[in-house]
Amino acid sequence: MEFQADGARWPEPRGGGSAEAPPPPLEAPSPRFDSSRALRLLRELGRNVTEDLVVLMPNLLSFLKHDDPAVVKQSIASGTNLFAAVLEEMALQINGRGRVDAWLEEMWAWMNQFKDAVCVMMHEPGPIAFKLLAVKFIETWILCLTPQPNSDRIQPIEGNNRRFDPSRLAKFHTSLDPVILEANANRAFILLVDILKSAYAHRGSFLVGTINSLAAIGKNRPVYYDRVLSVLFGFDPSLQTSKGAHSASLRYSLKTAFLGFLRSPCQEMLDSKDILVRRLRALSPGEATEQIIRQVEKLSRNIERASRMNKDEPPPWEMPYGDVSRKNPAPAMAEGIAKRARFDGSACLNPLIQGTPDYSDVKIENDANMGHSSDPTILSTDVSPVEKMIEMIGALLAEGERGAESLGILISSVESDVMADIVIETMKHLPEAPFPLATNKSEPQSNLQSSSSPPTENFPGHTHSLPFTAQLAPSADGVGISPPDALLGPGSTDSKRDPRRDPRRLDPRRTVAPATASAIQVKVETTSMHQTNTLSDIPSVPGKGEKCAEYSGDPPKSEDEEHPSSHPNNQVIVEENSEFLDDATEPETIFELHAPVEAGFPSDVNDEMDNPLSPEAISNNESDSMDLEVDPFSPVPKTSTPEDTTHELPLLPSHLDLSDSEKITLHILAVRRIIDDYKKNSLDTRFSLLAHLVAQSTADDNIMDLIQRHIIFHYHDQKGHELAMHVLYQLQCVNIADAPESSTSTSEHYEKFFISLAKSLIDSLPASDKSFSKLLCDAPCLPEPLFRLLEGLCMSQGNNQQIKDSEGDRVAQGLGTVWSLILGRPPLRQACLDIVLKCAIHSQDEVRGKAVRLVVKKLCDLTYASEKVEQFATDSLLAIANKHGGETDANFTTSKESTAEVEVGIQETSVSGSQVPDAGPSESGSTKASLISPKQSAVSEAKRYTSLFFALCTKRPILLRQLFNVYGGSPKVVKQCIHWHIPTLVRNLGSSCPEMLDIIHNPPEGSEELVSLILQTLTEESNPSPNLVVAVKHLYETKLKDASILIPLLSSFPKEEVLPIFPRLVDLPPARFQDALARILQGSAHTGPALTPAEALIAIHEINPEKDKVPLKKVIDACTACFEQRTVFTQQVLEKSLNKLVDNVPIPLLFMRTLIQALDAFPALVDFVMGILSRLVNKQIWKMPKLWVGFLKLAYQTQPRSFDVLLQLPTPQLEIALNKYPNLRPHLSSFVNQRNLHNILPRHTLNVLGFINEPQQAPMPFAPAAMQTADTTSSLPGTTLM
Amino acid sequence: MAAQKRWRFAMVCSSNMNRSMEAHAVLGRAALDVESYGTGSQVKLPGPSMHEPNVYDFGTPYGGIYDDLRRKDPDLYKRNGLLPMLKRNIGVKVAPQRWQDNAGDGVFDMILTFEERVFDLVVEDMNNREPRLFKSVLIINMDVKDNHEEASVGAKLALDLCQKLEGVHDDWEEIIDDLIAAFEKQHKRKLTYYTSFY
Repeated sequence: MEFQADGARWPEPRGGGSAEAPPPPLEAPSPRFDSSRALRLLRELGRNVTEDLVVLMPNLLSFLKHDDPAVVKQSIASGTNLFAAVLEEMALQINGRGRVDAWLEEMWAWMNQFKDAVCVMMHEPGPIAFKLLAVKFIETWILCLTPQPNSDRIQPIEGNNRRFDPSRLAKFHTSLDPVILEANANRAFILLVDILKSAYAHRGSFLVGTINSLAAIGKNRPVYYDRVLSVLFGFDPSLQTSKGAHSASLRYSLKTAFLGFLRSPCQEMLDSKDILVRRLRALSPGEATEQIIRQVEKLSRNIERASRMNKDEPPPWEMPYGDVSRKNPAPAMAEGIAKRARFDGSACLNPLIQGTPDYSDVKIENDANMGHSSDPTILSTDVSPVEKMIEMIGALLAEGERGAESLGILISSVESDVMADIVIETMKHLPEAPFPLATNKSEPQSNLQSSSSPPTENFPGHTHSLPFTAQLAPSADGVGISPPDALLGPGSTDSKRDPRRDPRRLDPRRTVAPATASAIQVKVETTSMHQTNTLSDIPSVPGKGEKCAEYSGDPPKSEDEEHPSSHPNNQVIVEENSEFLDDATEPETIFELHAPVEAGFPSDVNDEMDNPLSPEAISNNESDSMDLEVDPFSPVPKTSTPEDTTHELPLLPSHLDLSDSEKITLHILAVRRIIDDYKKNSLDTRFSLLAHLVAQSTADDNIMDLIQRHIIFHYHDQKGHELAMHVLYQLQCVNIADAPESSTSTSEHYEKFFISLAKSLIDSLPASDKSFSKLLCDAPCLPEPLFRLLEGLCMSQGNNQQIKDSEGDRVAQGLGTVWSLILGRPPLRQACLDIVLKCAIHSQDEVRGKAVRLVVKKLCDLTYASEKVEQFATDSLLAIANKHGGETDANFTTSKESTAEVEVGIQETSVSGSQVPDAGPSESGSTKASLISPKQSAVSEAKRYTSLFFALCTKRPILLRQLFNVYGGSPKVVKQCIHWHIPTLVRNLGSSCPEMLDIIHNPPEGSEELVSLILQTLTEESNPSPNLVVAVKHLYETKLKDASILIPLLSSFPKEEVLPIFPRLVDLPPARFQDALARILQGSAHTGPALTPAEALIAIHEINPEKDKVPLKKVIDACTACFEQRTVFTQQVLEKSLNKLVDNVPIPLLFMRTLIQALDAFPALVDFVMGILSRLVNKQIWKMPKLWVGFLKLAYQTQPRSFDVLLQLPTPQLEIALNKYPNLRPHLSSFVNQRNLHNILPRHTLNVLGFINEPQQAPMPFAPAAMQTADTTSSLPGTTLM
Repeated sequence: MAAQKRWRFAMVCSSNMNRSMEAHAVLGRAALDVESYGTGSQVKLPGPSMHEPNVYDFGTPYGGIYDDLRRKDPDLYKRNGLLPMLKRNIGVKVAPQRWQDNAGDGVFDMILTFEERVFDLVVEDMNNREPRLFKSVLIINMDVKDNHEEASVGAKLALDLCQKLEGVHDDWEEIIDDLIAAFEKQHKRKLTYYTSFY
């Protein structure tokens, strides 16, 4: 009351009347509450519904348009709570007193207004926070208005279970008629579905909220489950919305939804377990998901076991589809059903369930109430959603005009499967004999009353025809299985439920009017012709005839498939029906369509056309009437006035003579008009109109062009895609209708339209646009030339040079499309796979690189593709290896020039390879390769055929074996190519890849080079793994005695392992040995070097050429190699090793050589060398002839420093030395003189030196000079320093 | 107006020990309104071996756990960082709290989880609650490994994320997709968000 003063608007005076028709909603908030007051008020709107609240309702509504977002949010939130509370209160009153207070009815009316306002909000541009709350409100609305199937069992504990739902009503009340409530809920549900369908226009957060709400609805109300599932399956989480969406989060919310379904014990969800699991795996592959799936499987097994234990219950496969009450334990169910049968149109009965003795009574009661059939065959089934739907439709019909819109929405939202069932169900009520055309038209009301139970007086004519929709649709589609699912095993039920397997799901028209669309779609499939027998039985089911007494007999509908023209009444009714659909939703469409038609007609035709007649009707007459049957959308003569129909119908055959050009003019006019009118009207109806017009004027290029241009121009803003789909499906339908046998082929028109549309899409939209892909994925079928177009697109670089900069995108676009086709159109997989594989060996690097990436990243993970991909890659590799093998061999023998070419190629390749060593093999060198001269064709070809294989190897190491097998026999070019690829590959695989180790363990003939290359690569950056070491050792010990194979691993070998193989290493070519030596000395980080440089040098010297079978030359080279590394083999190292070696017995052969070299390298060693020499003297060096020579040479070279050593020699040896080097004698003598050693030296020695014989004294005066010359001429650099 | 509104954050990991507590501490130091929780059935801490974890009930004070561990093997638990961690936790709040058992803690604006499994549990828990206030809540997951170093990195990122969110002028619903995408790009981390209602 306090708000009165603020000018809060009061509702209309309360009373019975106002409750029925509440005041119109406020356009804007008239009182300006400040935010804080508004919020306080809203928070007071609690869950307690009292009479006083009625006055606040206008405020609640007005707050939806408040300036403060917080107020708006709070008002939706409060409204949501209030709504549930109002329903509760109503239920309380109904159950208690059987009636509802007037104020409460008024509240309810306000709530309905509130809901409408919230719905509007959801569509209008505005903050997402509001919209999310609106969605939540709608969710609550749906949950409250839809009966919970069996609240006792499905969700026993959760709190939100106690929310109102119609099944809790104990008594019937008009305000809460369950049927109307459900229809309301259904309408609201479509609002949510629409959001996801137009996902590209929304933000991610809004989509996440909507998905969550849909999931909650599907989970808590199994009636919606199938529809929710198909919507969610149809939603692509990686779509790119115009406003931005975080696809990982979208994916997560889908995943959460699916998981919720999986965890639910509800039967529908258990049935769809398999597809949910598949979807989950696709959404987020990984161990986490698998774990959850395992949990769920365990859960479902438990449930199964539990259900087996309960013998009273029939096994799941005996339960009819959609039976919402099947899981009730019998006694509870009996009670629940008894209640519902009285008050709930959706009452569910299952006489088959044992333990419900009072069933027959209930059944009868229900039948009596609902005026519904009690056919014996139906008795075996439960009351399914189908029957519920029929009842709902009946109830909406009873509402008259008011219900028309709801009915339209309801029909449009029904899944085609369900619709087919509805139709079949309704057909049981049909009379057997056909009714004459004229009477049908003139007496629609009486016909209809027969099938709808409540006898209402003022049925508007057109709403009545809707049940006919249901009745007649199967006449076109030919599918009819009487109690459809009860007779089928679980498998077929599954396949039916599985929307993914249903090719019809892509037909856009299903959303427009599934009733009729399903008829067409089934024809597209042409799977059901054989079922006509079943169908023809249905109308004659006993017990139906009296319900439809007014029909004086009806033909078996199934015949229409083959003989449509023989049943004109069907056509008319179909026409009528479609018109009503149009009419109900947008009457102005028809009107505008008619105007141009009249205008465009030549005057002579006009005479016959007193009644407005659409072009459709005219063309129908001249063409075969099959068109009509598959064209239920055709705008047909208006039949709303009785005069029109009676005049027009007999005249129909007379509209035959329009010339072709006139027809075309007419069509063009019509099409233009419709297109121009786009903005004002709902698009969906236009689509079907246009599609039909186009389908009928396929012969005329102008129309095709016109429509095509329109599609392209408005591809995004005006739903060009959907229009294109309509046209394509229409063309395909016409084609199939014309030639049902060859349903797989496409017509010329279809092909032409499709191809040119696809081409212009490519030309007019940027490559990043996904429309092309979507077009191909959604089209009814793909004509052959399209694959060529697609192939051309994938390889576009070569074909079209003019758009150079965006070409890469085109390739990606093409490949992206192919990928979506592979995913989305299983029958085309092979063809698409072929295209990708062709691209994967394309001569252009860019095309190839992209294709290879596609194959490796995506395709080879698909079970159905992986084998083929692997086979193809292997074949290409083999082909190139064998082919080149032949060629190169021939080249070798025939012309030298071509061999040179190949070699040039190799050089260049290796250059390009070394410049981009880190890039992936598929990409690197692409720029280089494009510059390669024609001479290099062999190289680029080798690359071309191998890159796929190598990329694949990373994922499938098992293929490596092939590579090794091929390698041995490959020509140089291919080997080179392999060498270039292998490092990247090996690095990716890592050193512990079991397949590779296996190969290394036992490589095929001829692949040794490759093995060592791999080892080299593996050990370049990291230490080899123990497994690798084992494998290589094994290889070395068994098959491959070449020690070079061990080189890469040497760094991790311990000393005791290196030493035995050391002679073998020395035996390798010098470069190899140096490499080995480097690795030995380098060692690993963990163990340190295997040998110190000194040890290495000693090891070299300890090699015995004869025993170890190493040529002495190699050992010498090895020593030389050591001396070359003066930073490693330092003076200290040499000292150390020589010190050690000199004590060896016997002294190594090369010892003297090394000593000389050492002194050569480090002259400062001279003192050390002298020490060694004198030790050698002690060891009687002269007894080792080979070393003795060296000793003398060194002594000579190191004079005068060596004089001391020389003088230590025994006289005979000194004499040998002096004889060998006569020059020594005078210097030595003067040295003795100088040092005055005569007394110390033995006599023999003096004698040898000539001190005893006089003549030998002569040279003495020359001694200093000679010494000087000796110094200067000495070859030892060190001597000058002394 | 919206910009001045204080957000209320919840940090959730599995044991309410390491990651959520590190984030709780960091956010708390930055004067944000924050609570923290765990979703596991019990609090599990590493023990002397893989098979002998230390298990406590939620609600056992950090101080008690500290004393217990110090009694068992002070060297080990000091070395593996448990004792310092617990000491830090003692300074933040009294005891680890279980998310599912603390629905009465009031309304959060944003819940940040540090592991997908935790995220799943929080989402499931929120979906099982009956919405009454119809107040939207943003739930974000950012995977952070359960060790001290990563937890500290994760906490810094959490702070950044929360400050970004609190600084948003509009409703978060408007910008969350862009914000998450930008954050992912900036920090090279994968995030996932979900919306639910109180």
